[in-house]
Amino acid sequence: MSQGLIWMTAAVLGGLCLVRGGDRARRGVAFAFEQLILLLPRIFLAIIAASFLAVIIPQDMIGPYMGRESGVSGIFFATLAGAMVPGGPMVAYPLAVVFFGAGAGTPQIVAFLSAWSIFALHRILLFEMNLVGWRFTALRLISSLPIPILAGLIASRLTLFAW
Amino acid sequence: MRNGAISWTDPGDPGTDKTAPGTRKQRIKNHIRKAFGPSFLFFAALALSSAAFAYWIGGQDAMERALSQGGDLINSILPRLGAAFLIAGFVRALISQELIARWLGGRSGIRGMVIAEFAGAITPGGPVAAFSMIAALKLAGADRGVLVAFAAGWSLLGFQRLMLWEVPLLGTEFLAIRYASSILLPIVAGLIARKIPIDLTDPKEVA
Repeated sequence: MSQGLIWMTAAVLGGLCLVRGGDRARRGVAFAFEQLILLLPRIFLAIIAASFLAVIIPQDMIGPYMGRESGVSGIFFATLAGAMVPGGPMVAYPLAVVFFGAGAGTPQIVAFLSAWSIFALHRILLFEMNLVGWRFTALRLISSLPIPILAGLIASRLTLFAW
Repeated sequence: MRNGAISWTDPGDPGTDKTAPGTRKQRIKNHIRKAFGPSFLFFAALALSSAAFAYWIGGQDAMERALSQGGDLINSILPRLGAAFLIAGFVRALISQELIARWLGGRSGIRGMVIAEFAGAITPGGPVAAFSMIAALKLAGADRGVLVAFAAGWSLLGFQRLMLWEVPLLGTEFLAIRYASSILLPIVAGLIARKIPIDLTDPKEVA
């Protein structure tokens, strides 16, 4: 998606907020502004740290495990790694940038992020068990087990055409 | 779906600021404190130590490579960041909990799962908002496939996290690939959930 398109999407949604009235547009802008304050300094540092780490970590360190050529076993490895990420998006996304820089393949990163978003342990322990209960957590985890692998496999098909 | 059954907690909603004047200033102050809090120091330490290490093993050349890579990344990210954050804010202002509850009320089957996945993907807020929505839907007797599809839709495709994190750090091309790879999978999870005989009713809730 180009820069024009993403700004156009923002403008259309902003227009929709104005049409729907109330204080929707103001609330939307306020949220964007506050999140910018909250996240920008750390996003900035995370990018800097990730670019240095990418230079330090040798390509052949990540490559054999999560590189484009690692194929299905790489997708499995990435799924395991993603499920073990200890924390929220603040940790998972910069890690993905580092892996990319160190030679990981797109399908493997897709599996990594999918596994993290489904299995993120801190989220299960802090929120899900308390708010919904362990029975639902168990059902959700078992049902979602194949998702990261499938996502990685589909992505490796897609990237054959797109890349 | 009975609206009264839906409890919705969204502590981060700026919409609540009109109830108490001065809260907004306070929240921005809190944000600034948090923005430069422990995780900022962690990233700063990581950036500094990795920079020092890069200089140690690669010298000037490695430093320049890393800085030009980082510079390119920041150049490509910053102009998009404002738009991505605005999209997150506007969608959040447009979607209410009542709207999502109304969409999902009494739905089941594949159609219900498709709607649940989409509703999960556009549900604003973090894990507290999403899981309290699921808890409320569960209490209201929603189909288990619908619940799991909603949870998977939120966690895999939730727009707010995508706009705040994935677009800035990994870019829109990667997002497009990941989205296309994952779009059918919450339905798959919902279908699997229907075959799994875990009793969701908590004995405490029934009594």
